[in-house]
Amino acid sequence: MIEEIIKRAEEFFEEGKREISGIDDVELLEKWKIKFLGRKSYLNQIFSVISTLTKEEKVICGKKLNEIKQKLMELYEKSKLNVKKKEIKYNLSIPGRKINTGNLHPITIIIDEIVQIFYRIGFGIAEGPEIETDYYNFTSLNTPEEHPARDIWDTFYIDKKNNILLRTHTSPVQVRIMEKYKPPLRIIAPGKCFRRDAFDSSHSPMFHQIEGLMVDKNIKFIHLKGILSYFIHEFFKKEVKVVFSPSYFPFTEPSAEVSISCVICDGKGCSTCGNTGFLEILGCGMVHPNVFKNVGYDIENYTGFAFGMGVERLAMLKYGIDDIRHFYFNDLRFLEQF
Amino acid sequence: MKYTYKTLLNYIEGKIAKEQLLNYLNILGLNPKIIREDNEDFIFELETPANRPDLLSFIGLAREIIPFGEIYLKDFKEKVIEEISDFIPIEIENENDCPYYSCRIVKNIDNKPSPENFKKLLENIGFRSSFLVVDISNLVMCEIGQPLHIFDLDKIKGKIIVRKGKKGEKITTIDGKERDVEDVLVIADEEKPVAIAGIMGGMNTEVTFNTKNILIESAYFNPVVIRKGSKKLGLVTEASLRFEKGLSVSMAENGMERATVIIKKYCGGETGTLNFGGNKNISENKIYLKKKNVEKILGIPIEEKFINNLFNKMGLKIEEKKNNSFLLKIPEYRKDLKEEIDIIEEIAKYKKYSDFPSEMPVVNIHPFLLNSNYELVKKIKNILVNLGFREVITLSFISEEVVEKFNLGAVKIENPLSQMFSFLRNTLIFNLFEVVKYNISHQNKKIDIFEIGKIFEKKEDKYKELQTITIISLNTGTFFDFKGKIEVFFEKCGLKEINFVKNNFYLAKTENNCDIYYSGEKVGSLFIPNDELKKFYGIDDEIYICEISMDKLLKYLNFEKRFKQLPKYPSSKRDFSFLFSEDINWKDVEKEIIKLNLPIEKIEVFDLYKGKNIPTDKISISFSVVFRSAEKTLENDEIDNFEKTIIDKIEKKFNAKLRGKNA
Repeated sequence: MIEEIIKRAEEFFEEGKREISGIDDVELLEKWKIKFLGRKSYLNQIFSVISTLTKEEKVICGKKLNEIKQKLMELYEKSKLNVKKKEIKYNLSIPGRKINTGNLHPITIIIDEIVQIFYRIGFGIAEGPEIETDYYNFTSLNTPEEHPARDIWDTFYIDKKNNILLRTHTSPVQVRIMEKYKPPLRIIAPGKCFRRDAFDSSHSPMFHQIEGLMVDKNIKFIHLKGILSYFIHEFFKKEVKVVFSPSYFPFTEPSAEVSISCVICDGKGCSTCGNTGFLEILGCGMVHPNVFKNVGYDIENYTGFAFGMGVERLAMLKYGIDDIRHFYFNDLRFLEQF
Repeated sequence: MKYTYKTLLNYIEGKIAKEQLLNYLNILGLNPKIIREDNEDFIFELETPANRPDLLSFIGLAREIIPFGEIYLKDFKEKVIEEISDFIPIEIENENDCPYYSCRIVKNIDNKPSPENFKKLLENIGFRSSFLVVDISNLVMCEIGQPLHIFDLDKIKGKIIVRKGKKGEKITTIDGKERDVEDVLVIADEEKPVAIAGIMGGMNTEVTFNTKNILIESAYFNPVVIRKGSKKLGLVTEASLRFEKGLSVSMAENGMERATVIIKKYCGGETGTLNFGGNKNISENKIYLKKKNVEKILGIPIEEKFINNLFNKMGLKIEEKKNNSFLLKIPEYRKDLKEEIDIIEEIAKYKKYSDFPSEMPVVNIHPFLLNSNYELVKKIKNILVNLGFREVITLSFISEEVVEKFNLGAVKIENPLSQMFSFLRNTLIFNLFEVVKYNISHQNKKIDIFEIGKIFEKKEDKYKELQTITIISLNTGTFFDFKGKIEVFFEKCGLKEINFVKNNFYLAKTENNCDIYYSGEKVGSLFIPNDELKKFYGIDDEIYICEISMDKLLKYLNFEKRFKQLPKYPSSKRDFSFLFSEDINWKDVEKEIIKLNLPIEKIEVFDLYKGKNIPTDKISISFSVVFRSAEKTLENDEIDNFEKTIIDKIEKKFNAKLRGKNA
């Protein structure tokens, strides 16, 4: 019995020796390894027979079989050093295989760029509800009922009788934050806003705004100019001319509108800037004392400024997008560009 | 209205060049837009602020410009001479609605068309020429900002009554439209309404060819009343635009004076006695201005000379001056100047915004940390992006058609833009289906998208905004590829042990929905939509959806990391394929294997198969088990034993059949 086993094992070894001599290729060598050293190899099958032998026979047989296994291993290792890996020739002109990646919506990207610019100079990020009350959206912002300035914001109502509406700007966040926190404060508040505007190439009934507010001792108009000039240069990353001119918002005074030299035509005049060479990009001003009074701030010791900007407009300028609806159609060929 | 350069010059003493004027208008933020220009004149439009009705006039605009240079306002010298004692009685029902109403009769006028120069001017500033008297009333409005109205005197019966429209009362206005004036302020005679106060006159008393005798009206109406009326009627006119911004008694007086003078000059006739109702008392506002407050807000020093010149040109009288403080008397035409800050803004304007330095504030570094989820949401978005999903943003509205078809209890908008946008969405699913539909129709057929946005609900009279994540895939892999991504998503968010529990959902194909649970709480759901939903959007392809509640996710979110020692000993992997009953719960299989207490590191399903050679009520599941011991290298025969143990257990416990195993 043992002799038979050993004989078969030796024959198996010889077979292995014979087969490996012609191998000059890694793939074939690995196939050889599976055949002669693998878990299902003939040798392994022989090993499993050993369990039926006597103790003494097991020792002799086991020793011999291990020797053979060892020799096969050596053959393998030796041969492995000799065979060369097959040279694979690559045609480098053929393009690589692309993988699908996801990406963020351009509005999210622009919001984050803006938020980070302010975050770096210590502005905290705040958010507020999209369904607002008349009080927070208008009255608390020094825009009482029947104020003619309310026409600037054509409002969607959810429940007009109970003064529930969709916020028309992110400014209510200012009031909500000031009610909750004492000065000094610095916040930047991005969010969705709603106005009853037609859905066309330059309007959308839903859009995004970013609101900023800074309140402290000794905050002056010159600082509003300083902070916003810093922001514009950081955001556009190129030399743009910044112009502040008077404007009117009920909740800031003095109020200003900020224009920049057109980033499309560099101020030469084009269709984007209506041939003026300038683009209005944000509204701002010193917080009106009535707004401070509404939230119980001490107007003798604290002053502040606020600003608001339309994200879609800034994204359109930065990326050269000509139609606001692209943001909401979500064509994948549009989205993958950002 | 529009303005012309040459007309404006009529009201200014001194020289001002075209370019200079444009420059001033830009500095003032009025953003002039040139409509037409020739060698000597140009016509322009302005963006005037909502609180400045005075700028809707040549005199108002001239007054706004003169502080800039050596230029001054021109005065009108002519005075009215009353020739006859005729007048019409006035009755004001509520002086709150109409604090002041005046009118004057002019008899036997020369009722003719306007001369060419009047016609041309009217056309240039945006008005249509009519009879001379009517044209004069419009020109005076554009000159000084006070709207006037001219009635045909002979068509007015008895006295003038300023009152609210009665129930069912109607008037046909001069534009030929019949309007319901119930509760709207009207001017009436003893029989009928003859005009909508401050908005538009009535046809019944309009000036015509036959008009001989006229009644000039000049009044001060409550701006809120006019604004409400204008909104209610959906009628905005040059007059209503001015009245609703707040005019004054003195402007009404000036308007009457000026109109009478000019009508007399061009149309002749006999001027009657002025009659008025209401309160003639002019309440001039006074503002106390502290110089230090100017510097506190603006941040630059202001010279006294500058202030004196500015106040003088603006018509602000300094009544008192001490310790760098001024008591200012505000003229009635500047009702926008109510408090100190309004004066500070005027100073800033004329100091020129562009001349202010730009400075960074010096402040203490108060950290201002709010509990906003902004940064966390950003991280969550990035995880989804890394899993290959594109972010989309859709409008937060949902159409009436969808709400009705799928019986959604969504919040309605009272004044929607259109049926397409008439409700607030209470799920993101439909908007994402819209996106899928749009993309399929544009040949984008492989879609992996997500949206993070608010959905809206009304519960017990409270409106709720719930941040939601919805993820959709089609044509980018099998359901299990999708499910795998969702599992990795939760794992990356730190929710390690999520459970999928079968449930029914009205938008899902029967038996193809499960809720996702973490820590005993439902955090989302995963489903394949039913045919009704797909058909509604015309989608044929297999589509997979996952909805996750952001609130719940944020509750369990855990980005904290802790290093785990790397294993010292190698691992071994064994693959298995079993034929299970079709409705097997994989979690049970996993539990049984774990219960065996073997040194198992990981169990992973890598293939599912149904079809050829598989009985229809069975499913073939292939999985691998990775063995690793923390104490030693596992020997082959040890692993063979583990393998056998697992096979035995599964075969017995689940009546499953081993299909094959591989090294």
